[in-house]
This record gives sequence, structure tokens and C-alpha cells, in this order.
Amino acid sequence: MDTNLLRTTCLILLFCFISKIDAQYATKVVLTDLSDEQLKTKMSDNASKLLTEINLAFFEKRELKIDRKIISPTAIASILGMWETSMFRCYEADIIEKVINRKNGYEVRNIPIFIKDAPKGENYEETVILFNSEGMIENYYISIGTNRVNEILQQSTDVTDFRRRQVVLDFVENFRTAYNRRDGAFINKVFSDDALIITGSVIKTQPKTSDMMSMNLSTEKIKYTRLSKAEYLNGLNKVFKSNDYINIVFNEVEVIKHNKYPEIYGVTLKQNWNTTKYSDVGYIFLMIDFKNEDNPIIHVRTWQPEKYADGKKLERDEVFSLGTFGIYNR
Amino acid sequence: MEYKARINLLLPIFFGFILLSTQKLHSQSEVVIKTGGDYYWTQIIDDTFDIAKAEARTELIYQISQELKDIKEIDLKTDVNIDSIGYLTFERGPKKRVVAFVLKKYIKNIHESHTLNVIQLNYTESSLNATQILKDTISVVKKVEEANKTVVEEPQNIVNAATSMEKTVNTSQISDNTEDIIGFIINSKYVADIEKVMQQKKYQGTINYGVLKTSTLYPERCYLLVFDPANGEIKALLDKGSSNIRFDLITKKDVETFLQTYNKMNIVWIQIY
Repeated sequence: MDTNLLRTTCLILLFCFISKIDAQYATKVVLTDLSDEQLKTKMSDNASKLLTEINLAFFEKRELKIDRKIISPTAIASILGMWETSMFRCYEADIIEKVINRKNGYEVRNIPIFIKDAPKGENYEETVILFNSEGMIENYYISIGTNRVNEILQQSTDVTDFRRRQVVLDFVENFRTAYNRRDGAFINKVFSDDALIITGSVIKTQPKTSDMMSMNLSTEKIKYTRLSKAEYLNGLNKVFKSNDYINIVFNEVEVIKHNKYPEIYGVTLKQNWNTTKYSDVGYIFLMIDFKNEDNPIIHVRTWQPEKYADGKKLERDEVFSLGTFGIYNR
Repeated sequence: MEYKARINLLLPIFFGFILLSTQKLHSQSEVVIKTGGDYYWTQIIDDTFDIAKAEARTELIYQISQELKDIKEIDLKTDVNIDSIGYLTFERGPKKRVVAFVLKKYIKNIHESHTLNVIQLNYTESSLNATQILKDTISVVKKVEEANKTVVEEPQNIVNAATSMEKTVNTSQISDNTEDIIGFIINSKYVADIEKVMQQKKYQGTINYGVLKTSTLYPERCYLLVFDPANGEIKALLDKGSSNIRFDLITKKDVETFLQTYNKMNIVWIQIY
């Protein structure tokens, strides 16, 4: 056979081979449940481009080169923040998901990622892509789990409550991802300047005495320390600097609307905190004010250990809730 | 052509075709169900298939109940009768992914007279329980056809989609008004009778309570609930006050030195906001 023909054939096959390698790292996103076909296609394309670029950068071990025409600066900052903590990739080549309506835009859930530097057993997460009303990617963060999200939304009492719960969940997921990407600026922004921040630490129980007063005294089993916002953020920044990887996972999420002030929500989260140097499990309670839904503010943030010193778990009643804090002069 | 030359030519062609033809086989069934527009579907990812299936079913029922309700304020107590849901199951990393689905026409047009078209699904992955899915789909079709032949009343066996998700006690009958809450406690005999309501009101920010601890007591703000630790029987409900004398709202009498009086009882402080 003619040598040139052979050479040409091999080059064509080599080209196909290289293209195939690239295609293997492509993720194609197909979206459903949106009547505007043009917008749906645009969102599908943008999501596909983003995830494919993430996969290629992961494979090629390089910095991300995200097309800024498809994504907002906020979303880029979020993704780069996550990337700096650990490279990640989407490990499915084809994704078909519903578009979910939210205020001023849309969201797409259940985007699976593999996080390279996460501790073993925590490498796999689900993420959420947020779009604005024009189909541009507006934000990107790690999900608390669609089943948990569904559970909370199903407890809605009416349309307004449903919409607020969406905002609550959006906030919680973004808040959680802020720790993953060590975004001190975001955390600073969402805490009220006079936020009440309480941290509990387990201490040994005091032996009971037989006198009348002591019989009525509760046994101090957890010591609570109050921190100012500045103290809390200083401590957090130190943690961010001294740990290569931070992952927090919310295993249980409960959202309750305040009975008297419907724009205030109590969010209770069972948090698994994992860094390269330390791990613990405890309950976070957040009192969040959604008076301005675009900028929710945390007025109270508490942390309690999951268990007492003797290993006994905290009862639900012992975990801080909305009723633990009086609201005055509102 | 020499043997070696043939190998040099054919080998790259062979591998090229192998690579070009290797496509990730995505479930055609999943594509049909999710994008065809003929199914209600939902997807859940969880630790086991059983858990994911149960959650997917609940979520599917909820979604359908929302679509069928055409009112502004969502009523989550809609009853939906579904006895034929299909499932697709996949691995996703260390977790399991389940797609639950049901034909829309079965739900919406159960009384229609036209013939239902069965959608033929191609199953290409061994992970799919293809036979079961087909059986489910065919049985759905048969039910619709039978329903079309006779006048069918609304199904009597109903599943309340909201019930399984309700984890809280309905406290709507006890308002947040102080008088109503006090009245509720006074009219109850045991702590067990009021416990769940009190818990819920605490979670919702209406009240707070805790074990009596004199160092943190704000007497002007708190009621004191006294009960027998042996059986939880409520003995007294002491009004707010700042001295050692308190008024018992149950017996309508003053109680002096209540700590001594009730030294064998449990006392809980209650603050109503």
C-alpha cells in the first residue's frame, strides 16, 4: 500500500483517538421541565461547558480556564475557592436533571463530583448549579442532599413558606460550601455584627448532693462560651490557615419558622466537622432573619457537642432552638 | 504487502474503531422517562437502594399531588392513589441512585375513553430490573383500560402523602396566646399530656423551659411547673413572681417557700414570649 495513504490513515486515527480522550472527560447535561426551549438549551450548554472544563483541568492537573461568558464572577469565585481547597471533577458523562424554579432564576441539583483531596469516604458529593433568569451560571455549591431538601420543602405550610424554605436551603448550602472553600469574607457578611455566638464544650458532671437546693439544680454537663463575631471569625480564620482541607457535612437538617416572626427561621443542623487535624460531631443552631431575602442575616449561631462526657447523646429537647432565645424590640 | 506492513496498517485501524465505537451506554430507558414528557419522575440518591426507593416514592407522590392541585395555596394533605410505580436503579459513586416514575396518563386520565399507548422501553443495562419495569407499565395500562370500561368511583384506599412526612404534633389547636397555653397546662393532668405541645412551641420560638436552677432564674418572667417524678402528675403551676411566695394557678392558693413545699417534686420553669 502507498506509504502516504498509510501515514494519512494513521494520522486520522490518531486525531480520532485524541478527540476521544477529550470526549471521555466531557459531561453532557440535559435539562427538563422548562418550557422555554431556547433558555433550557442555553442552560444545558453552559452547565456542560463548565463541567467539561472542570474535568479537563482535573485530568490535565492545571488551573481552571472557565469561559466568563457563561458564568458570573460570584460563581467563578466559589468554584475557584473549592478548587484551591481540592481539585474535583464530575464523574458522570451524561446527566439528565430537572430545572427547579427559584426566585429570580433556576437551579439544577444532583450534579455528582469527586473531590480528590477529601478524606477517604468523603470524596463524593452532590452539587447544585444556580442560573439567573437569562441562563447564566450564577452560583455553584455543594448540596446537603436532595432527599433532605425535599423533606424540608414538603413541610411547607403554604406557597410563601415554600419559597422561604427554598431561600433557607439555598443559604444553608452556600454557608456550608463557604467553609469548604474557606471563604471567610462570605461568613463575615452573613453574620450580624452583634450576632450571639455560643460554643459548648463537654465537662465532667458534678456529683449530686442530697440537699434540697441541689436536688433542684440541673447538672452542668456542657459549658457554654459566648463569643463576639470578631472573636469567632478570628478563630475560624486560624482554622482556615492551618488546615489543608476542611469539610463539613450536615447529616440532619431541620427548618422551623418562628411562630410570631414569620421572617425568622430556626435551622438546626447536625454537623460533622472534618479538617486535616481535627474532627467532631455536634449540633449547630442558626437563627436566620430573612427580612431581606436577598441578604439573610444570622443573629444567633450556637454549637453543642453531640454527646455528653459519658457518651450519652443530647436529647432533641436539649438542643438549642428558637424558643431558647427571646426576641425583643423587633 | 508484507505481513508486518499489514499489521502496521490494520492495528491502528482496529484500535481506532474500538475507541470510536466505545460510547458510554446511557440508559435509553432513563432518557425516555426523563425527557419524553410522558412520565412523572423523581430521582433520589442515598446510601441503599431500599432507602432511596422509599424516598423516591414519597417524593414522587408529593410532586404529583402538587401538580394535580390547581390552587394558589398548596394543600399538602392531597390524597393520591398510586399502586404502580416503576424504578430504575444505578450506582453513583458509593451511593445508590433511584429514579421513580409513573405514566402521567395513568394519573391524569384514568377515566378517559381513548386507548393508552404503551411506551416500549429498550433496556440496555443489566442494572435495570427490566422485566419488573415492563410488568409495572403493562399492569398500569391494563388498569386504565379496565377503568375506562366501567364507571369508577374515586379510590377508597388512599395514601396521604403528607402524613409520612409529618414529624411534628399539630399544635394549631393551642394558640400562642399566654392564656391559652396556661389554660392548656392547667387542664392537663400529666406532664406526658403536655410534653409534645410544649416541645413544639419551644421549637417554634413561642416558649422556653428548662430544669429549675436558682442561679439562672428570672422569677418575674417564668411560671413554675411542679410535677411528681414518679408518674408525671402535675401538682402545681406557680404564677410568675419575684418572691418566695407564688400563686398556684391550679389550686388558686398562695404557696409559701415553694422549694421546701415541693422538695420531693420536679420543677420546670416556663417562659412564654
